[in-house]
Amino acid sequence: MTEQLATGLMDYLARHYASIKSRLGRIVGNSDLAADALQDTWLRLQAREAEDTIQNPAGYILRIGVNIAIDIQRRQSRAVSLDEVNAAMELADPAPGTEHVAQVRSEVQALLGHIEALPKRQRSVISLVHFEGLAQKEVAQRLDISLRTVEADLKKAHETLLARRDEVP
Amino acid sequence: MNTSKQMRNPDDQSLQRQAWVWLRLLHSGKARQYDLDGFQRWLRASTTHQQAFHAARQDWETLGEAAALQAAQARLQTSAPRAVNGGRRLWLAWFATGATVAAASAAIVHPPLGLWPAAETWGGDATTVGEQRALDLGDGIQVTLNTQTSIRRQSVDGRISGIELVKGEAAVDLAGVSGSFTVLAGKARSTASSGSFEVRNLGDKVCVTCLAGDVVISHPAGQRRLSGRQQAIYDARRISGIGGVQTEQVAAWRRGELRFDQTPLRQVIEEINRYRPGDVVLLNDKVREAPVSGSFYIASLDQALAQLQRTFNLKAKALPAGIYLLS
Repeated sequence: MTEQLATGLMDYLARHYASIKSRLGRIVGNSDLAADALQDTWLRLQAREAEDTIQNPAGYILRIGVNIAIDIQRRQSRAVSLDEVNAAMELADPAPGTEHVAQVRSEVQALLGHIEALPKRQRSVISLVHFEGLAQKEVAQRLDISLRTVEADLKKAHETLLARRDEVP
Repeated sequence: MNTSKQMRNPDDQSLQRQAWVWLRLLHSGKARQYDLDGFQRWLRASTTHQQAFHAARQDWETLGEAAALQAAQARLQTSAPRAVNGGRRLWLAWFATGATVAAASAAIVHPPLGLWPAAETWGGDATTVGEQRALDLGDGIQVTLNTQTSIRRQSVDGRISGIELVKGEAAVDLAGVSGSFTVLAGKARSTASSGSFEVRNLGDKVCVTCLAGDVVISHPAGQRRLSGRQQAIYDARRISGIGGVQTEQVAAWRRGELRFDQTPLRQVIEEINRYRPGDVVLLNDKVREAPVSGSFYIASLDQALAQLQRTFNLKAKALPAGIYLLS
């Protein structure tokens, strides 16, 4: 595979459009979906600034294409209510009736310390999601930041908290 | 609980990560049928996936409890006084004046999540010294409570109709409300259906200031109708006439400032005391009525006091329990 600058990716896609579209079609199982996804991929490449050289341009383009195809399918699928989501989680992990699993106090206390050690914005996100029970979208509105930032913060916070909790003392 | 302190092998870690990705997606508010289908497929892949999800979900709940504890403690910390030079023991003052607050706070921190009563069921909203709190009551109604303020919400047919201002100061902003909103303070009620007004109930008298729109005060001794930049004062027996007022001064607290215009020093000290734990006592009779003009930031009232001390050439002496004598 020849190396390409990010700006050269559009050229690459233009030259190999047919073969990339057919590969994407096989991956996502639908050639129309592949065509739509590839259109959006083209736009995404246009918006991207020149970065480092890309080792495997076809693979890179396909990864973007697959993610976009997933997003398209998600958007086209019906919205589900909070109840449905909760039902799905319950089905996956049935809670034993009325038994409230009282978490071990020492574990909660330890976690508390770790939460306090988080950077300020991550702490706010954790608080709004886990204490106030807001969905990530609502957190983004409340803190006036992008949804992507909220999701990144939440992921980072979870990873940090889990890592700390699992640290062998 | 789970395998907390054990070393996790890479497969477990990978499954744990995947389980958390699903948990975040399911709690995001943007999950769609496609995601639920994907989730089911992932879950059915093996029992280890189900176990990983179960463990992750338990951890999510534990995180909920810890987050709740942290939020409660953060609340207690923001209402605590900051340490001041001179090593005055303000903590003593805080606990002395708010002993019941401290006891109640201890109760707040410990009950597990799910057993915490909503603020409304505690019978009211109250702010501590120096705290300000905005309440969004729905329907375009916002009530902002100033320091040391205590209110009880009033509803009619499940819809919030007003508040009782038991003590303190509350600002009401109405943005196109369908009904009307009433503030009951002492012997009278102030009602408006649009605009903004403030009510200040400091025990002996109540002061109602209309910033915009119209407010009608119904008092046993008479009714007053205020429009923007007008004010009336009442107590248990009488209600004053309508006076014009500088609204910037009245509403300055919402911007974190206190503004005084030829205000007697003793009144300035009284006002500062509302926002500051401890008690500043002015012993000097000569300057009690001296006029003070200017603005102070609520966040740095100690500097304001230092300034006043210099301006009026006063000696300051710190006593235990946060009492500060100016003479």
